[in-house]
Amino acid sequence: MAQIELFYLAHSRTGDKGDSQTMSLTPYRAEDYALIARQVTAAAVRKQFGELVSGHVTRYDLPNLSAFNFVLEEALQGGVNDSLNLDTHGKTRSAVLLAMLIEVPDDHPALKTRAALGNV
Amino acid sequence: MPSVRRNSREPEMKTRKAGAIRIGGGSGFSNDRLDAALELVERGDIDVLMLETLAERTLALLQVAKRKGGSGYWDNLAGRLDMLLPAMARRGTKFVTNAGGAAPEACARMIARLARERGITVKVAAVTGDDVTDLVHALDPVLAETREPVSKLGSDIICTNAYLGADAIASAYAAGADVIVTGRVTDSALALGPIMATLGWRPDDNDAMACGVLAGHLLECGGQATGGYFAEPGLKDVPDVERIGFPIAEVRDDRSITITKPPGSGGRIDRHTVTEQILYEMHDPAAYLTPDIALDVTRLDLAESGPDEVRLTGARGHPRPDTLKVLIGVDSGVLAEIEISYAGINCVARARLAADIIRKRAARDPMLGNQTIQCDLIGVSSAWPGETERPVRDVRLRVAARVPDQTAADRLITEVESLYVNGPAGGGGVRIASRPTIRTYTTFVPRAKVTPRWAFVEG
Repeated sequence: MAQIELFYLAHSRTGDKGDSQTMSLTPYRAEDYALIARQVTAAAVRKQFGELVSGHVTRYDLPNLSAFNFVLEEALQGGVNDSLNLDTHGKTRSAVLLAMLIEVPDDHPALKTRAALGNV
Repeated sequence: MPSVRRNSREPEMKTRKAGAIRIGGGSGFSNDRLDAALELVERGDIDVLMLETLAERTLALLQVAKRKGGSGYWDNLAGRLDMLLPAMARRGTKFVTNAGGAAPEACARMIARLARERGITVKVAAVTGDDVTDLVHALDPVLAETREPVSKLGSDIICTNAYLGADAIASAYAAGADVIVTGRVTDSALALGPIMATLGWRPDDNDAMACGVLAGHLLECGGQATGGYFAEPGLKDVPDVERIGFPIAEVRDDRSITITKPPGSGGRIDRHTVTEQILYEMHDPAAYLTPDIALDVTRLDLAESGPDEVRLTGARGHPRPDTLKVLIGVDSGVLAEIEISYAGINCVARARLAADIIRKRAARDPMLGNQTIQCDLIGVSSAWPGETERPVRDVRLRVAARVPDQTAADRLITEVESLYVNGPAGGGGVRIASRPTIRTYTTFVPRAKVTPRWAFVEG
């Protein structure tokens, strides 16, 4: 097995509602859906975000769209009402999710993608 | 504005099938690209142009402006209509927008006047009823954030608006309105109203409402459905990303939605771009709550039906809630943000020293001592707290605080500016921003107590 950042396996977009963050995760290849479902659990996402998230993390599975949707509660330091963050809405937070390390087989094509892109 | 590039090899426009409506999503926010909206009208073969301009806080800011003698609606609309109105008149395109803000009727009159001055004959309608100030005062409902009644707020309420659904828009459209101006409605209703009127869909037909809401949801952020907010260089590239075509939803009476964009435009439509927008700002995908329906996308079928074309079927709806969401805006003081740069060897340590100076001096200032002052290192940890492993060539210290008034904001601004001569070595590029902010609260009122209305207006 090899390790690779989720960044090379899936893409993500974040949105906000108050202090909650919504975050979609869409694998580039539908074949990776099960692999991501096993490893990118709500608990794993909670751990990846660490002190950024105080509340509950929920994962919704959408096998029909080959995608996942996460809701992270108490995740935006108060959101637009209270946050003093530069990125008040947490729009850049998809990058935190995509930095998560995932175990993949040694012959997974994403390893070649990473090698081709170089050190980004 | 840039002209729209034309390509002689483009396929012929599709002719409209009976039992279908084509709506263009002309903006994802108030000041979105005008060239893309114009391209939708000129080359998108659309029946309706939808212009979403009212973010959560925008209405409160418009209300503040109205109290000071301003129009109360989105003032940039007139300039945009200089280009859009003649094009829409030539093509027979209808126009639905929430740009009315805190003054939908005045905005509608302005549009009617603009049209008359240009010799354009249009029927303009205004949708009202979203201002529920009196109702909320009478009912005194509990706020979601504080779990206390509205009357306990204690601060001056700027605005109290319910998110209306599509019913009044649908009625105005069915009565022949060419232009429909609203205040606060749920964004997707700007599309659902014309869809209901054109396809004869009834509010109690849950799956039909779900299809219309999904179409609106895919249009309400403009380019976000067609390759905007998507590019990852080298990994997921977007063709001609500098001239992304805005989305067109063709909704048919078989309850399918086909998403396309104007022929020859930039951007990208496929499973990935559309899925990302379906889930955008969604909580439970089995129950995305709107005033018109609870949308369920868990059995949705998505097919890449052609180049830059996605077809969606299987949207399901659960009955709409008996309550309407109400957003209350109150004054929230002044947000001050000041930045200064440090560069080269040891720059992060110098930026941290500067932050330390600000914190210590603010703590001794009677106006700033009780305020939360946030210091970020832009380029190191402002978006993602933690230690950086990579050395940086320059860093920007950002100092931010929300303070009661401009006087307090100016005190903080002065402190950061003083770093020029009193702070660590080599600081430069101070930039200052301060602006009034709005706090929003959420509550709910019975749908039966809210009466959306519409009427034609004259210029």
